[in-house]
Amino acid sequence: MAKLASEPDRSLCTRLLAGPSPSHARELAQSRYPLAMYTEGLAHGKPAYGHGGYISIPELPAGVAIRKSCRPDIIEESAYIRILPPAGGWLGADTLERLADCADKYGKGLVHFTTGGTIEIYTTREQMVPMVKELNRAGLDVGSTGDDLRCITSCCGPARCDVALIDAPALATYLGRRFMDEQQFPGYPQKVKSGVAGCPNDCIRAMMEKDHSLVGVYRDLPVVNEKRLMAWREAGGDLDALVQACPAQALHRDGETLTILADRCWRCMVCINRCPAIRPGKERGVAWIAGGKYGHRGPQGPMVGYVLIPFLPITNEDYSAIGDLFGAFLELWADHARKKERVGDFLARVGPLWVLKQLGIEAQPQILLSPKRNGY
Amino acid sequence: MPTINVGGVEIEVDEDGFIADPNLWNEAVAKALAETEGVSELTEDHWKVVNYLRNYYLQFGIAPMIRKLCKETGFSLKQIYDLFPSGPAKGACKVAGLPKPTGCV
Ligand code: SF4
Ligand code: SF4
Repeated sequence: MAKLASEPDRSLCTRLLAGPSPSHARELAQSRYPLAMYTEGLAHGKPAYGHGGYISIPELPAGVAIRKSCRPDIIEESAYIRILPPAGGWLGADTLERLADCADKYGKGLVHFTTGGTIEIYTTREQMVPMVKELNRAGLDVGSTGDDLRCITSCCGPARCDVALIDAPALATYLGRRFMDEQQFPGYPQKVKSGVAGCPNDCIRAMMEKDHSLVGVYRDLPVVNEKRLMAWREAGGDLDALVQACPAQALHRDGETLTILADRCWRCMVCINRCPAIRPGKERGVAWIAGGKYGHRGPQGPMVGYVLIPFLPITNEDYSAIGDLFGAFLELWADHARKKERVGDFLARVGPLWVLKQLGIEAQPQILLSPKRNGY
Repeated sequence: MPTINVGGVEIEVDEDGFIADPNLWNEAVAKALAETEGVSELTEDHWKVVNYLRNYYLQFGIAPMIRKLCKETGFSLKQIYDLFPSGPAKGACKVAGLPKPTGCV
């Protein structure tokens, strides 16, 4: 092996510790995370962690994952557990404290909020079961690891958003409870990620990053409030720019009045986002979307989901019919997917119309020629 | 290779405790393997899973897919874990005397 030209540079990590802005290295350094693993990885230009896998520990079928160590002299392996996040991503101060206590007592004093929405604590295999028992007492549960239904993420919905069309966190919580076993007992051909967005703005990128999602939609037209429109104009609102912004040329201006052309409007959120005088329609439900993924593995690579049903009504906050469909689709996919075939690759192979036929659903005209690839 | 003792006879197992020679399997061996998995008593439900796995293996030479196991035995995955705490692959297949599964049971 060629000798290294010079001693590896171990100062990179130290530099990341400095400065006034938030620093992940500082957080790592403040905990019992083995910072040397990071330092060595940076110094040698490749991570000091190797491939790992999922393990099931008696009492914990899912939730535990392992990363091997390429430097057993520093740490033998890194085991971690995934905690299911409450929908919407809120954690009260009390829950945060209990989480911190667990991380401190059983782990390395470090909590990782992942990009996928879960919460991870690094610990050892031996500490897993006692820690999970304590997490359970704090009202948290684990899962979302391996070939199972991953945690169901949602946006904040009406708990803090003015344009929410449906109660996204409530629907995500309903699905999370109903499909708890599916999140904790890996029995699928592949992982399947899910998200619930409150409106087509899709702040959680459910269409693009999740295999199986629901997005709040409205079916009637946006509502223009004349009085508020006047006020908005007086405050400097640019009506022409608003008309121009409509992607469907569905906004029509006649002097100071604004009309929406029903046969043109896509029921998107553009005018609603731009002007507080325009609010979403009243007839609300969800679009059912499957097949989105960002992963580069699989024949299709990254893909945007297919809208399989453009509108499913929600009445009286009853989510059971949506839950039935959610479960029926997962069963269909799991029974017919190839090994390790993600929902998107599966859909591209069998065709969305085949799926609708199997589930006894009539295809809507909007998706007949080519399924829509946006949630509007 | 490590061994387990079945009525005075030493049976070879691999590093993960799976039987080295599946032909040596019998009910007494199953009971001994179950003990290594923390299952002290094999109930009728345990046998239902074990016999299904065993017969499938004898017929096809591999372990069935996890979903097939659930469908054919009528147990949910959760119930399988309740019966065999280390799960269908590491637990149930081991007791049924299958070699270590490489697939996804
Ligand atoms: S997706 Fe819609 S409802 Fe949810 S936070 Fe974004 S804008 Fe609000
Ligand atoms: S909802 Fe979209 S398509 Fe319809 S009028 Fe507003 S911007 Fe145009």
